[in-house]
This record gives sequence, structure tokens and C-alpha cells, in this order.
Amino acid sequence: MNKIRIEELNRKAHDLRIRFLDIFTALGYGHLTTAYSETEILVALYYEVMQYDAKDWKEDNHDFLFMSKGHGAGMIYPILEDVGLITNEELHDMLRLGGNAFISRKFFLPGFEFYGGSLGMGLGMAAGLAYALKMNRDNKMVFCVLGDAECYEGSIWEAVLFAAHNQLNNLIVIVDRNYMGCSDFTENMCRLEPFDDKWKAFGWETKKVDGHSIGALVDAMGQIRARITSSPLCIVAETVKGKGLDSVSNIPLMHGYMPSGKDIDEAYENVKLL
Amino acid sequence: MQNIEGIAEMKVRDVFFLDVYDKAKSGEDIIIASSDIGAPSLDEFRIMFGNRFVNVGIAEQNLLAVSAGLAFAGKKVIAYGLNPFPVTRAFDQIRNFMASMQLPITLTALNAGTCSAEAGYTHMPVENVSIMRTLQNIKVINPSDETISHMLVNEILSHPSPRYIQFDKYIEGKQYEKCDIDFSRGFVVNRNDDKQNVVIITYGIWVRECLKAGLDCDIIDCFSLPVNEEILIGELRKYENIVTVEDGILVGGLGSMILEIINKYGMNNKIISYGLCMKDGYPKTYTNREVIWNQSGIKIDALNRLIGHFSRSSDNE
Repeated sequence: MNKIRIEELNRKAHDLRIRFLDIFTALGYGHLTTAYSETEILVALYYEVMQYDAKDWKEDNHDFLFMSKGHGAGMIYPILEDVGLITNEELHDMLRLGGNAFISRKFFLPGFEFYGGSLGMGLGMAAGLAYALKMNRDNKMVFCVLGDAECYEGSIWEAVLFAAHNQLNNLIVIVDRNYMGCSDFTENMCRLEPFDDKWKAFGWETKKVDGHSIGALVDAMGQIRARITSSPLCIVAETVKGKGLDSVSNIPLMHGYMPSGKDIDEAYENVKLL
Repeated sequence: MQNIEGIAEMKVRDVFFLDVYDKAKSGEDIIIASSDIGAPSLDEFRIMFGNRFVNVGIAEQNLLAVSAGLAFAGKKVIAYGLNPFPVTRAFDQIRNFMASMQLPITLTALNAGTCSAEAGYTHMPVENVSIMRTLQNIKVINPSDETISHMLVNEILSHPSPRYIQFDKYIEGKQYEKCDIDFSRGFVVNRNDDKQNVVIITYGIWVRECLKAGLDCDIIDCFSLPVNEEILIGELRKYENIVTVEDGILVGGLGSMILEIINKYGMNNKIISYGLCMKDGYPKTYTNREVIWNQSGIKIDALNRLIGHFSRSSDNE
């Protein structure tokens, strides 16, 4: 990817972090740190890697994205709005008390294939869909964004086994490896390292990249439609929880944080362009 | 439909899976996902449709998740596991994929109630009906005869929605005609014209036990929960006394459901509920379903005495 495009997408990531603040400080609820951790991952997916037609979308004419780490689904809203999959009015209608969640509940927009949040469930469903697409000789790709601390769930590893055994090379996992759960760092709670080796041992191809480098993320997914291996691919994206807002980044127990009161202005002033 | 060599009587499960095989042969896009469980009636399907029999291994959570992805892609998915595990181990997946997202997964499971009691409490899905009743949008089906089993496959294909079907491995043979069974009602009344002041409401194996014993009262078979309450209430107005019997724990089960309905409609029938209570603790020794029924007081002679008692009190009035 050329430098100009990377700079453009870095500015996009910054704008999306700001837009996230608009939406979720107004709502008074959200998970800022997990959304900021995955911002570049989602920018790479929606603006470079995934295939979909925002002007002419149908239920099945796009690649699929499972936000298994459902707490991070907040960042999907400003992106869908920005790429034109939902309008500003629809967004506000979806995110208000008693509002119309019709669009997200129909599960037909890329990123809303699934109602995430109960952790450990998205990968198995993504694998089932990838299996069905292969049966149908359909060459769409299935992406699944996992949280690293979500990988404590045993159901993740059930799905990891299944995907490798069934040679689901149309399935791409991106793990938001921010080394943090809700209460503590992963390596303090219950060690996950060597993390990518675990995926390798289960039969997956793995890549480790800087999860805040849009160029590195896009490069890692550059040839996904022409891979010659039968293995599914796991990209371990090394990130920082809360990246872009220093006051809350990389601090345990900030998982459910949304600025309120005077912290809102401070957040707007301090969101950084990476 | 063919019979299977070596199986003298067709069990409700095998009736169902042979019909599924016939439908797959005729072109239906059916996938069976299994958590390491087969059946003689599934062997042909596995040979004929290799990649449409998806075996996830002993991984019930993934059974539900993979089934969700297949259903999302438009496949007609029958997930198949060994009870109680698909429900007890994967309840959160059922809750999200089937109840909330309403993906049209047909979750089938071998074993109902105490039919595998010899294997110990671990293998007794005695809470499953109660657990599944807590969820909206999922039909809970207990086939009590071959006719219901035969009708299931068309019901699934013509009305795609989330379903949970549990097969009792000792139920075989035919009790009903097709015209008796209406899935939108969810129950069928086995009429006994002599007595009308007491009715037994049950499902699954105890429908067969009551009919076999020739109990002197009507027997209502709630083969698909939730039942149509209004139609059921119309039936229940005919009886003064109701006895519920279930091969499952009482808490939240069929007996609870009847109490809820009777209360909701402001009726005052006398209700006596029989079910498993495990009040002396969970089974600690080798056991079987008859022993467990005896310990919980679920016995034909007890039901006979009760029917006699209600009949006498009715005669005295």
C-alpha cells in the first residue's frame, strides 16, 4: 500500500475514534478501550480488504465479518455510517432507547452477521458459514475478529480444531492481541503465550503484525484470496487496549469505560492521530 | 421408507432420520451436524452424503455454533447430540443462536428423561425440558410415537424455525393417525369415554406407560411445547381434576407449565403433579428408570388409586 493511502487511512482511523465519541458519549454507554484497540483492524478490513458494495448491498453479495468480541461492536457503527451502509438517521434510530434495531437485528450487513458479546461464539459460527460457502463453491471470504482474552473460552478451541480439520482456507481470524482482559493483563491472569504457536499447533497458518499499522495489516491480508495453503489463517494483531487516548490506554479495569461529564471534552482534545 | 436390518422395531429417532435421508435423496439441502454420535438410521446418509454429515467431535458448543453458521448460509441444519449435553453444555449458544437470533436450527438429541439412567446422572437429561421452557422462540418436541416422528421432517422443512427434539430410546410403534397430530396445537387428547372428571397430562414415555396400563381417564399428550394455551384451556374446562406426570424434574417442567396456564386463566381445577424430585440427592448407585420412577412415586398403581379417588369423590357429590 502506498504512503499516501496509509496516511489517508490513519486520518480515517482518527476520525472514526472521534465519531465513536460523538455517538457513544451521547448514548452514555459503550466500551471505548476495546473499540480503540481494534480501530486499525476494522479500518484495514472495511476500507481495503473486505469486498462489498455499499451502494448495492444484498444479504449475500459481500464478504462476511463476525465481530466475535462483541464488546467492540461499537466501532462498527461509525464505519457503516462512513462507508454508506447505513445513514446517519438510521444510526441514531438504532442507538436510542426503544429505537429501531431492525437493521442490525436482520444480520445482513457485513459486521452484523452475528449478535456478539457472549464471548467465544463467533468463530464457530464463522467456521460453519465458511464450511457452507465451500460446499456451495462460493468464493466469498469469512472474517472473524476475536479478542485475545476471549480465547480463554474453550469453545474457541473447539472451533479452531474444526476449521483446521475441514481446511477452511476461506476463514481469516484476526485476534486483537492487546494482552488485556477486563480485570488484568492476560499474562498475569492465565498465560496465553506463546499465543501464535498454539494456533500453529492446531493446524493454522499464522502471522504476527503490528495491529495499529494499517499497512502491515493490509499486507498480511494482501493475498488472502489467492493463498495456496488449505489452512485457515490467524493474524495475531498486536495492539494496545485504549490506543489513541493515553489517559485510558493499557490500564486494567477500563474495559467498560466511557467518558462522561468533563472527561468528554478532555477525550476529544486528546484523541491522537497515529 | 425402509426398515433397518437388525432393528426389529423402529424407534422414534430412527423413523425421523430415515425420513431425513429420503428427503436428502430427493434433493433437500439438508446437513446433519453431529457431536460424535451416530445411529444405525444415519449410516446410509453418512455414506451417500459424506460432506453433509459434519462431525464436530465431542464439542457441543461448537455443534451449535457451526450449525448456526450453516443455517445462516441457508442450509437446513439438523444438529444431533447426546443428551443432556447439547442443552446443558451449550445452553448459552442455544440461547443466543436459537432463541435470540432465531436461526432455524433443528437440535435433536438422543435420550429423554431417564431412558439412559443406567449410565448415571451425567446422562439423564431430566432438566432439559424445564431449561428449554425458559427460552422463547424454540419449540420443544417429545415424539411419543412413530406418526409424530414421521411428520417431523415435513414440519421442519415447511416451517423453518428453531426446534429442540428429544428422542426417548424406548419409544417405538404407532399410536396416532396423521390427522390426530397438529403441531400448532402441540397436544393431542387420547379419549377414554367412561370418565370425564379427571385427566392425565403428560408427554413422551409416560403417554405410552399410561396407555399401556389402560388407565380409566383421558390422557393428554403435550408432544410439542409450548402448547396452544387457549385450545388446551378449552379442553381442561371439561375436567375437575388434573394429574400431570413427567419423566423429568418437577421444577419448571410440564407440571409447572400447567399450573401457570391454569393460574393465568383463573381456573380452579385440582392439580396433582408427578415428576422427579431428587429430594434424597442425586442417584449414587447403579440404577435404571423404573427404580427412579419408583423412588419419585411415579407408578401406575398410584395413578390408578388417584383416578379411583377422584371418581368416588365425584360420585359422592
